[in-house]
Amino acid sequence: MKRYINPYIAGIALGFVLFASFFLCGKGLGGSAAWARLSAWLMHLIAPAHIENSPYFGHYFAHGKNPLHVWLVFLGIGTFIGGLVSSFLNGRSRIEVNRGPAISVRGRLIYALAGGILVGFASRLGLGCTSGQGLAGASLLSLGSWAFLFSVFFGGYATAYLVKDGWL
Amino acid sequence: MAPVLKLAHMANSPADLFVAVCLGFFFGLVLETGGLANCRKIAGVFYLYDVTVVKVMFSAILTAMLLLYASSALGILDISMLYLPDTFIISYILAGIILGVGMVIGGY
Repeated sequence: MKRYINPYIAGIALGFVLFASFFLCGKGLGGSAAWARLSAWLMHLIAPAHIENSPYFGHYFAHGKNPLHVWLVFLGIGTFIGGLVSSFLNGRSRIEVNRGPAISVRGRLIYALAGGILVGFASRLGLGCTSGQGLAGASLLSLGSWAFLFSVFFGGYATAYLVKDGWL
Repeated sequence: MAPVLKLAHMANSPADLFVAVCLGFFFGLVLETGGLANCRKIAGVFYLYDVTVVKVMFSAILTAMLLLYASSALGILDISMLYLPDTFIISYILAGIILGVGMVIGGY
């Protein structure tokens, strides 16, 4: 298993990818929209009428549109492949439940589900996650994005002590 | 002139979606290479045992910011055409706090 590269080098490379995204397509990189659309698509398999009439998700399906046929979903597919290739090339690819030394697998999975629900909700409320708001918006010096970014740190630090058994 | 594909009225064309997959590929590659696909590194920020994520994020923001500024100053990028989410400050602060809470619980 190879070590991760220098974080500043990774950051500069990430900045170039983000800039390329703006330069070529006119929009920044985002991570959460693909998940929202995938969830909507899955829910549509189970309860199509409900999801089509949902005030939030309904427009994904307007005029018979496929919710997955959008730029951010294709970006997400690329991100999955890129991450997979990198982890294979660096010998980091294996099946595991990555967790702190003190928590059980079951406990970690419960934490992951609870955290995931909160992050999913928050990313829709905030129109983005740490990629769309945190990276893309912040690099354009958007006030809202910086308010979002500092609030993420605030929320994280305020909660860290309560869930320290998960990580320390 | 840039944004290239947007100015060519090719947003959401097959070419635009292909570029999205390629951009995503490098996005995923760089994130994994830098350690941001590892939840213990993300949690490390909140317990200050590993601040890799902060180093990666802020050097990325700074790099992209300088490149955007330079290309705009050189007149090769029309910065007003870039997508920017509207500013809903209260929602964003609330969303950020909830996301931060979720992130330290869930690890991503």
